[in-house]
Amino acid sequence: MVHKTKTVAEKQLCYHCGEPLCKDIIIHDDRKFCCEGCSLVYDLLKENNLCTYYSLSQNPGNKTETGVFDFLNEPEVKNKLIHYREGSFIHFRWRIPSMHCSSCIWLLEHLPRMDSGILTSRVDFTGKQLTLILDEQKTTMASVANLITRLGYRPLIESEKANAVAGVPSYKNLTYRIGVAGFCFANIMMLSLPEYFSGGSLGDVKLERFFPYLNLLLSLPVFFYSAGVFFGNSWQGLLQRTAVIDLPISIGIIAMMLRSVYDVITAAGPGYFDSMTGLVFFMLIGRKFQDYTFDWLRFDREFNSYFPMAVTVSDGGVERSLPVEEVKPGQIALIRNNEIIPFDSILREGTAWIDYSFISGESRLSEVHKGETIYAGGRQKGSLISVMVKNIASKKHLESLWNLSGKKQHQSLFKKLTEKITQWFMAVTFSVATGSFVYWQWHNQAVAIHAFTSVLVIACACALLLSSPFTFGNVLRLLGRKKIYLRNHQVLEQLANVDTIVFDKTGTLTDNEHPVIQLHFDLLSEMEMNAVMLLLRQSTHPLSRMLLDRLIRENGKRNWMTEIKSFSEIPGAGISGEVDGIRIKIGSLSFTGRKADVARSTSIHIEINDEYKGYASVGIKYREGTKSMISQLKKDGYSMHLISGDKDADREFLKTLFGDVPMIFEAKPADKQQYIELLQKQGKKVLMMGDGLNDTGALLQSHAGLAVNDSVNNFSPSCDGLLDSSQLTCLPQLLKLSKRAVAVIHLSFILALMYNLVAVSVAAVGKLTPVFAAILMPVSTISLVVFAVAGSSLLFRKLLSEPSIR
Amino acid sequence: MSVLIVLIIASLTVASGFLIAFLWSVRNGQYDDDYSPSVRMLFDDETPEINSKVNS
Repeated sequence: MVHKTKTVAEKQLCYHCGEPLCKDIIIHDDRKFCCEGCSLVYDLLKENNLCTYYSLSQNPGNKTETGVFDFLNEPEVKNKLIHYREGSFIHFRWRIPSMHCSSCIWLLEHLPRMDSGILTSRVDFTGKQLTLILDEQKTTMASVANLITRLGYRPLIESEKANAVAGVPSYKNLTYRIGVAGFCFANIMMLSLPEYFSGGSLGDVKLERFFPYLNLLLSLPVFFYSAGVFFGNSWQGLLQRTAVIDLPISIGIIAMMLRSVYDVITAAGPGYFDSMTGLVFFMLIGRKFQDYTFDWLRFDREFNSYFPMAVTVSDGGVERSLPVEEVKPGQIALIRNNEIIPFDSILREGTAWIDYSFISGESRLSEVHKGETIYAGGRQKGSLISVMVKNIASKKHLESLWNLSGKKQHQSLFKKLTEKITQWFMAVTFSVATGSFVYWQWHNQAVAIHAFTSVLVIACACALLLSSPFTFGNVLRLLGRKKIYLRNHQVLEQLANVDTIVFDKTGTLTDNEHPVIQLHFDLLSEMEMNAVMLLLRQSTHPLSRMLLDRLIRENGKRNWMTEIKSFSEIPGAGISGEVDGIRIKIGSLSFTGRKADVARSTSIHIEINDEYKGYASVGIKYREGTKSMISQLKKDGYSMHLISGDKDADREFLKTLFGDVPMIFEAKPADKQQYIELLQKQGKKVLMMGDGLNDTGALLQSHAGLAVNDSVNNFSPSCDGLLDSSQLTCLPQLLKLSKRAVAVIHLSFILALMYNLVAVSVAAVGKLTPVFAAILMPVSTISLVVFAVAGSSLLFRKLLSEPSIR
Repeated sequence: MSVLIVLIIASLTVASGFLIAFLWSVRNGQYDDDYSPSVRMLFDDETPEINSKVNS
């Protein structure tokens, strides 16, 4: 019975955001909400008659966020974003990564109702972009940014230049080429059909002459425009002295074209226009599919978008935002909670808590006192601090902190393989062609040229070209649904070759977003608990916040109205105060005046009425399923390493997880990279699993680097792939899948070679006819594509849909 | 049979009209976002009924 009520409770979801509800429910307007934020958004929507939002899809909301967008009021910053201005009307575009359903589209397109200054707002869901037209006389960009952030759609503000780079002109270009090729192919097929069925003679001389010439005319745009992609790529390849896979295709297309023109002019036959245009059409579609798969995985967002574009500078008491580039040393800047500090600076007053986890990997906050230096790249946690700028760090410098310099040296193995196959393929084709030419010179001179060109015409590398993009593309697409995003198909095939896995600890194996807070204090009375929570609420220190959250979850919300007497906060030590006659001190061990022996982990101590009550420890939780994942990987024969920027407090625990594997602690980002390099020098193929923040160098250095991220939408560093943290335990299956996918490709290569064997031998004996080519080419191409897609889908279903992996 | 030639030319002209229409629509950005228009057309204009329900 108890069990039953529990499951019912689990099923209750927040009306707004769909998160499961915990003990502290806000019931508002007969609807249940998980937090104040969600109910406030509901109110806001209700006020504006926008509740249709909730009827379009269930629990559509996002958690509300906060952001400071004052910098958008600065003309320099603003002008970078605006891409069109007409009087007081401005047009601009923001990326909104958190839009995810039809309700989002509805709400974002109904923004004009909430702010009359917004003229129109238009969503591009595929690009996750919102195009807005504002009337600056009625509203400002900053207030619109605040509005949609409050609704839970925090815009990702990039300058217009960055947007232009992310645009997709190549996609349109390809679509034009496909359109032209498809049109010509279909018409040529129509005009060729009478020829096929009549067995070569139509009984009308005029028509017999007319059809081939019309076909020739129709094939010209395909040859000169649509096929240009292949010619261009092969030429590029030739310039770099590599045999790219487009080269044999280009040769085939040119051979077919020349042969057909010759046939038509000498009236020797109808030519191979149908095969040629068909080949180009199918190849272009293959390329389109490839592009389509990767289009929505935009990995080009790098660190720049993570840095603040502007900071608040205090100029003789007047606060204003300045673009980061224009801040000068000696100026005084104000840094708010959760802002990244983009320059080296000196703390002017009070105490700051800086999260350097991006740089050092240390997950604990470091405490900075007045007069001490805060280094660029740190993130302020807690209340507003005021700092004096010391050194201006360029963005380049900030990037070098993450050690982005190390570029990937190794080439894709697969690329090498296809290169090899291409060379081999061309060599064989040419020798067979010349061989048959020489043979027929001796036996029947009339057939010689026919046989030579026939071999070049029919030998088709298309299967080689298509099988890999379709197999890998399909697998990547399916993985995307599982929240595993790989940069490209080469990554998948790198994964297949990996034999060593290096894990980063912080943020990868551990769940930093949800720390575990253990309470080690005596039972407090209701009054005392109330007082403690009230006091905690006054503090901006992150540890107080964490503890308060935990207590609220356990005990529900309190009446915050009670007065606190003699409240004081001693930075870096703790807080004290008196509530209803209860004197409370919360803070560090020394603050409460105890010398107890407590574990090394971060802890908060509580003293009530001069009596030590105990402490709460803040620990980091390991992700669920880590243990079984590691034992599975061990079974599969991977050697594992662990590397962490943290102190070795968890060494013993990690031993129980990993067994006896090399573990390195207190490693800086550069150390991690060097460690990977060392392993590679030993001839190992290394997969790096990191969180993508402080181990970017290592991710780049490794053969394949995957970043584990709590919210995939938020951040895409320069890694080879992103894993949603819930999918970390899928790693063994992912590795297995990559191996099988490569096997599917090998199989389709064999299939393609068999087709070619049949076709080339027919051509070499001089028996090739246009009809035969027109049938064989599409059949071989389509059957291979079907094989690749069906094979990889089947694999995927078998490996990644097992119930154990969710 | 020369009527066939005339017909084929006529049909090609019509077909190339469609090709141009296709190219034009791509250029116009009709294929840029293939999801939101399908949803957008289903959005109703707010009826007073819904409004009153919300306001009550």
